[in-house]
Amino acid sequence: MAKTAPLAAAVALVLILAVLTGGALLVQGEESEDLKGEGVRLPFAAAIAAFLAFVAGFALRDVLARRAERAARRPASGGKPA
Amino acid sequence: MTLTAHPPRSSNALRWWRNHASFVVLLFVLVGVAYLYFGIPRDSRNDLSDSSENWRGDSGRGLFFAYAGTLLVTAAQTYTIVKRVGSPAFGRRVGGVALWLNIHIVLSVIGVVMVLLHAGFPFDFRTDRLTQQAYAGLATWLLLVTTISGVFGRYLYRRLPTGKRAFAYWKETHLVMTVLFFVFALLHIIGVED
Repeated sequence: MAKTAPLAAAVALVLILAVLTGGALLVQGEESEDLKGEGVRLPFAAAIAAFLAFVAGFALRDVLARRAERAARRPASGGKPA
Repeated sequence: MTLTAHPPRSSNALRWWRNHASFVVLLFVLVGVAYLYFGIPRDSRNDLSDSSENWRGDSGRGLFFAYAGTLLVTAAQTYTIVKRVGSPAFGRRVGGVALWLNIHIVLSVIGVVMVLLHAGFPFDFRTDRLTQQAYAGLATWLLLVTTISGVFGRYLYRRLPTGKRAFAYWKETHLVMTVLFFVFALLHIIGVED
């Protein structure tokens, strides 16, 4: 964990700076009323929902694969293995 | 006589701090928030609430905190992809699961602070307004509970394989709370009035 911490901090910092810069530009370029409008909110919500669906897909695939693996390991007769 | 080099051993106090740091920090934050909410007279609290108007709700900064915080909390979920891809080679190529757990924690903590500022926490944050502004209060409460659950999960994770069963229960609970948070956060983003 300790070896990966500096790299993690660097990656996180880059991501945070990217978001902050983007956000600051967004706020400077748009009035707050525009940012609150449906034209910004709905595409933002759609993008977030699409990404989360993608993540959920991975999680579901993993859960189903693990279940199938457990079922395959179980003896076919359903009783205790000899 | 042979000399063997031993790695420096960390002291008991340092080891204790490493194991319990997250809980100590969480405790301090909770005590601080409780003081701000209950320890300050109502008039002063209202003044503080007024002074936070510039960075909460639908002010320019408030909206910036909302968008940036939501993006950070969402980006933190990339950890799930790295963990669940199921290929150790892929995990190693992108830096390892431990690295992404750190990224998940850092992004989540900063995102949570930004969203809480947008929500006016703790001055403009009341339990009787859970469903107002398209579930804004409920989404914020769920975010708080999920964050506290995350700290608890980190505590259990450090103790693996001891408490493996508790960790398995925690993982499912954390997942459900995260899903609920995102559902109500999206309902808030979509449904909040212009």
